[in-house]
Amino acid sequence: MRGRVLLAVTALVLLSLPVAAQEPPGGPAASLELEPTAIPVDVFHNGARLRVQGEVPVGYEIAVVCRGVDDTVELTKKGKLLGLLWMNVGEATLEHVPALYQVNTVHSLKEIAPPDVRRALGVGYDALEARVTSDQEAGEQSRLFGELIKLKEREGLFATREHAVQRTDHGAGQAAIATTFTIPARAPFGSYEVVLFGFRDGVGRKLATAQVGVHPVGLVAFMSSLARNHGLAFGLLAVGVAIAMGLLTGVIFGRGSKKVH
Amino acid sequence: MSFSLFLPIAGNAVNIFLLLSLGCVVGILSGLFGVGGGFLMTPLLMMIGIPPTVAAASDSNQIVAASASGSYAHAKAGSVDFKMGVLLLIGGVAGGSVGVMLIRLLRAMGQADFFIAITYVVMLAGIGSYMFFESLGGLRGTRRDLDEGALRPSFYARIVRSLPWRVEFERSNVRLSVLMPLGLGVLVGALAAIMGVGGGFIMVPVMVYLLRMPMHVVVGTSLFQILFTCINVTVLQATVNHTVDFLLALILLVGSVIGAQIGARASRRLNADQLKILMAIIVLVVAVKMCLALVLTPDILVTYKGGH
Repeated sequence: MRGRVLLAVTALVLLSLPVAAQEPPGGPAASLELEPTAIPVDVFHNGARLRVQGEVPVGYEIAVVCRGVDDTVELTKKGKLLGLLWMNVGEATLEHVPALYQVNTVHSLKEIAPPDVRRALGVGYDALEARVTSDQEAGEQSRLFGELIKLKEREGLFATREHAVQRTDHGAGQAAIATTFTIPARAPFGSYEVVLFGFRDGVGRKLATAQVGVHPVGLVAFMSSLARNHGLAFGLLAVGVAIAMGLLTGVIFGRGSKKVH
Repeated sequence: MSFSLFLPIAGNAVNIFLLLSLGCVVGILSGLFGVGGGFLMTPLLMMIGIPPTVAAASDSNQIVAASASGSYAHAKAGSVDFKMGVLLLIGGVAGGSVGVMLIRLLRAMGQADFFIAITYVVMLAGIGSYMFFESLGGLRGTRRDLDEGALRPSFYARIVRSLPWRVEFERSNVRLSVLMPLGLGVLVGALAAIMGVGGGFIMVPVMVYLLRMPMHVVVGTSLFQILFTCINVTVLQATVNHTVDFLLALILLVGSVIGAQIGARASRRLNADQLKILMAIIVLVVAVKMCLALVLTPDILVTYKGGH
């Protein structure tokens, strides 16, 4: 009898596991769909637009975050030497900087949640800054992080777009949301996570997540692999082709030219 | 249609016609003046979104094509002094090692970037100004003849004459000690390594003013020497740093080999003073740009580590 009870309890626990994994812990039902679900990088790749659609419960402020994996960034600092000349005055290493970080929101970041709530979930540049570590003193790290944001925004890798999520209520307590991220051509290869956050009554939660991969294909994959795995052969090939091209052009253009000495 | 191509190692997409045009313009300079054009091309590539390390390495790769094309054209025209070129190359390799060691020492002292910036500005402004006024004098007909016999034996001339192992460089029509091209090769090699460039724009004035070579031979000989320097750099960068973007180099070199031929032909139509004054203007423009970069406040006070 004891054995049967134990078996029944075990079976119930096992059966309940997949169901529990599908539901956000204590959260409302929400969904997220990406189009495309993968971004192949071939020689004609010039960035991509990632369309995000989803369903969220009514009454939530929404933020959608697209982020790449954390990386280490090595920077050269510029400063004034002798009070006159702008020079490279040192180096700095910042860790836990995402390869890409874009936040789209329905309303402004200030409106959707208090800073500490957003920071806890990693929404907004101030949340990123809180996670970044470096070999610099706190004040200098903060200054460098501000400069790094400018650099990344110029490259199209970082962005904060307020009022960039369209929300349409369609009854039954649910609303449809839609937004678009621009993945620039220089976004590194790898996996990117899109996270749908909901904020209400000073509380924020992760409502849904989805992944999109940016991966090389065809000639791009072949050349990347050759350059990294067979550097010497790649270098000799590059030099050989360059010399052949140079000489071939010399021969073609040289026909009919006269000796000057 | 965007006409952009994704560059596998640079990791960015760039307009193909923009790259072809850049290659062609730098190729014309290469064929015209015997410079690799790295001092111009690398910053331009960085401006259009190529990472600094990839820009410098891939530029070396395309200079191989441009200098091979230009060397061939000049060799066919009989304007390459191979004997002088080989001696300068040997000196340049040794000087490059000296320069790298010097930079390592200065980096340890925290003074490398200041030293590099000052070297750049002084070299560019000094060479550019001297070439400009000297050529201007030539064009106006007010310059003294530079023939050795007509010169008052200056301190430099006395040193040159006193050096042993003098040999005849038939193609350049000069008689010099082999120590001259070797020693000047070391000097230019060291400066090029410090500045992170091929050194053509320093080598050309050195050949003209210190080795007294004729301008048309200078251009061909400089390209011959640059060819070997850039082969070495390309293979090393591909092997050690994996930063050569062959697709980028291929597009640039299509433009540059054509440009190099146009430049080589144009160089035979211009006289030496016209060539020198054009070169001087380009060097001075780069010097002014560098001065402004040193004085004006940058938009962003950090850059990614790497590059020149």
